[in-house]
Amino acid sequence: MPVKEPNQLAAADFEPLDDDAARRFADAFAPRIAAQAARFRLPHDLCQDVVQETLLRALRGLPHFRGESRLSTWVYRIAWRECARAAAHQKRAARGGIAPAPEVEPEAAPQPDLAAQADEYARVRAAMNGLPEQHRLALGYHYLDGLAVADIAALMEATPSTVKSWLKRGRDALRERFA
Amino acid sequence: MNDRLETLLRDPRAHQDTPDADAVRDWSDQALARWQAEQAAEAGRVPRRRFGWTDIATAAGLVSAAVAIAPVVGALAGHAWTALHAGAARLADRGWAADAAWTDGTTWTQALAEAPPALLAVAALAVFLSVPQLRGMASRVLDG
Repeated sequence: MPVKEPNQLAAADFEPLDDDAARRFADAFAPRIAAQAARFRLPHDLCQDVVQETLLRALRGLPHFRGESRLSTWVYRIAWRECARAAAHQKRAARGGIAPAPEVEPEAAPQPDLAAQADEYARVRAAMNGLPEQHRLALGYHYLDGLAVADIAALMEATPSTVKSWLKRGRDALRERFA
Repeated sequence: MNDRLETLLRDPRAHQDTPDADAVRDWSDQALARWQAEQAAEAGRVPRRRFGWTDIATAAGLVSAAVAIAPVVGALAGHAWTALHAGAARLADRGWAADAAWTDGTTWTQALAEAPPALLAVAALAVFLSVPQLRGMASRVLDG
């Protein structure tokens, strides 16, 4: 069976929902969910919670998924809620004086021949980190997860025109900082 | 530059540092283990018992018992009502003994002795079927 991109997957691809199908589901979506959690700048332990809770909720709900949206959008929507909950927990913990968990460990030092490329990525990452959260999340959903504007709008509870505005302003800011 | 930026934006390495792939795999494994445990627990749960002959017998017994008991209960209630209105003080003097007479001269023992045996049997059956443990025992016998 050819490997499909997460955005091309449908609920029917995981029927019947046995252990093998659940494994394929997790393999397809877990990296995207983890990336989504990372874009929320969640610490490592909260990323873990988000990935696990999202997978569990999605697997529980998959037999009842009616296909009102794309499967990937539905999964990202669950992940979005989990991320938002984790982020709120993190903020409460910070306000309460509880030390937040350590951030994700930085990447290992790149090889010399890859240093220039790694530097380029690091510059984009730094520029991305300077963007407002909504711009950063919208850019991630659009470019990394390949979601359409309408899907992002449904996900982030905004209008499509607002999402277009976030994408444009995010790109413009990146061009300025990256130039 | 714009094309380069667009290309970079499509690369995960240009985004926020993502957790290590092995770590994500471990998290997936843990989530799958939890899901599988849930599925196993769900499969092992005793399915809801189907409607059977025992339920029909129980319902019939309870209805007939209610019908049979109603006159007795009514009579007892009537006696009690009469006793309350006619001679509460006298009743208090006599005590609530088995041979204490109501205002019409009937005693508890007489009331029970006069009740038809069939009605008493149905009432006993109703009590028997109303107790869950006894009903379960009957269910196992009847449904095999």
